[in-house]
Amino acid sequence: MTRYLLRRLIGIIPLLFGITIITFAIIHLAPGKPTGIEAQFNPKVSLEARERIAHLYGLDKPLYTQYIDWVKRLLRFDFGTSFVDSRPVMEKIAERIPITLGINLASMILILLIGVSIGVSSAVREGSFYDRSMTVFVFAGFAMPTFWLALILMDIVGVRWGILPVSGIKSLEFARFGFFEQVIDVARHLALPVFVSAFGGLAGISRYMRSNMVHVLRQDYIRTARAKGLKERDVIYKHALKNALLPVVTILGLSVPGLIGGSVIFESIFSIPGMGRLFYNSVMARDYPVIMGVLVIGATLTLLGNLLADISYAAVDPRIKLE
Amino acid sequence: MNKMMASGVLIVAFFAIIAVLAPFIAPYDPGQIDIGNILTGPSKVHILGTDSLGRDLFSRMVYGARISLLVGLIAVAIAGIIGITLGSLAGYYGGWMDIVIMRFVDIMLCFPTFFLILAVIALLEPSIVNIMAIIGFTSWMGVARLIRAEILTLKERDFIYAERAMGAGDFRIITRHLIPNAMAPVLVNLTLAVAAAILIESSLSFLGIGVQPPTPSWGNILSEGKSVMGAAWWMMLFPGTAIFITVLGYNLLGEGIREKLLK
Repeated sequence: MTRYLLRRLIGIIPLLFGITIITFAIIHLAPGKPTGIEAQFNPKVSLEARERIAHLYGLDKPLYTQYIDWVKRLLRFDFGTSFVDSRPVMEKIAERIPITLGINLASMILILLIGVSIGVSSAVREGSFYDRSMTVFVFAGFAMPTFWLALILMDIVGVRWGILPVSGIKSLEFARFGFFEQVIDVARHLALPVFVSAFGGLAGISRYMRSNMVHVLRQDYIRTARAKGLKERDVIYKHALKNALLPVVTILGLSVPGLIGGSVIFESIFSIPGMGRLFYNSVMARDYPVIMGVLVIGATLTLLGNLLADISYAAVDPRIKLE
Repeated sequence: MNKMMASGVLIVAFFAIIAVLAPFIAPYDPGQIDIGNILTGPSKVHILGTDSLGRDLFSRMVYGARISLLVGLIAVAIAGIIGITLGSLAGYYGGWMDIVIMRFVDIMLCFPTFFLILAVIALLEPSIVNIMAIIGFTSWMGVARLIRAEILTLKERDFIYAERAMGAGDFRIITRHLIPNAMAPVLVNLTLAVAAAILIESSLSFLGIGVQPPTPSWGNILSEGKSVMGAAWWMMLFPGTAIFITVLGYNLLGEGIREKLLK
């Protein structure tokens, strides 16, 4: 296990290197370079800001020197300062990350719980009316534009019925609430965003879970389990589910970039002060240091998410380490 | 043809016809402003109602179908060309070329796609051409992986050895024998990618960084629908439904092809 872990950790070094190269290339090679001629006429980027970025990235130096300097600063977690409010980029991102990660974590748990139940119950009743209606539901889930679902829920649940708040993560009078009320308040604010964020991923996981489970239920060891007289419930939940559940871990890891990317949409709609909204606002304001920072951090988080998924897979399935 | 494929073809063809024949189907000019008829609900004159400038929603939706189709197909064509080229090079030549290309794929997959797209748009301008290009350049990785995997097994097959023995060059073997034989899973992936591209375009347009008004796209109509939420349900219901059904159509088509070709 230690050797596997070590191999994987060394394996992420070239990837991290690649992430910085691509981010650097995007910001430098695109025609609308931050200090380029276009920016001079762009009222959103002031003269001072352009000088600052020119200095920050050493744009007068050769490209490879610029890159090396930038990476050196990255290694010290120095992402520069924002154009908008001159605060350190790292600080701005750090205060937003917990919100985005929290919502994504909550929606992942929701996806896992509901997706696995749908998948298993469909597989057990393969071909039944229930199975077929779940397939229809899954297709609908795949095709649903997240932002449309968010708008509909906002309109019906938030505006027409007035059951849940539709913007922000806490009420104005949050500070005056007791602890218990505060928890309820945040939960009420996050209910819709978490649901919306989970909805898209739900379809994928439940479909994947279903086909896994169908496959596992046809294996010899399941027949053996039934033949030795185990209760059907034990066969399904103890023998089959364990084996069908394993690969889901990897899929969950692979869904991280989609979830983080999707946060731009629902955080903008529900005005949630997370990383997605920060990124969107920075894009609108052409706040290059923040854009670069979020790109590098977003990609690194994805990398770590995948690594975590792979390691936990290897931890529970000894076959993986041998490959 | 199975049921899934048939319903997929039906939906895809329906919207394709609307897109191609848009000038003949749309009863009004999609840009024609009518201050006297702002935000009127569906009626005999305007069957889907009007928007906040009095423009006919049905006509705008019909032209919006053009944008969706155009962006979806061209973005996926770009992704297909990049993915097939890089994937077959990696699979056929192996060695350092394989390592470099597949590492590049791994790196690209680390970036949350939507972040990458937004970042590039921040640097370029949000024009339709740029959007198609950006979506194409950020969604070829799945295709590359698939075609590489197919070619890895195909290139050891007897007919490829026979072809080489008869003096066929690498280029001929790759383009005439390996790629055509590896296309089945790629076709499924590309069809599903059209759906994804349409979703991305509409999300971008909804956020105001995609197709720019006054050019109508389902996404930017919905964005307007958000601002009149509660006052004009038709501005939210119809464009959303159009996106939903179109994406559903390509997904059904893709899954239908998968069932037919791969099982």
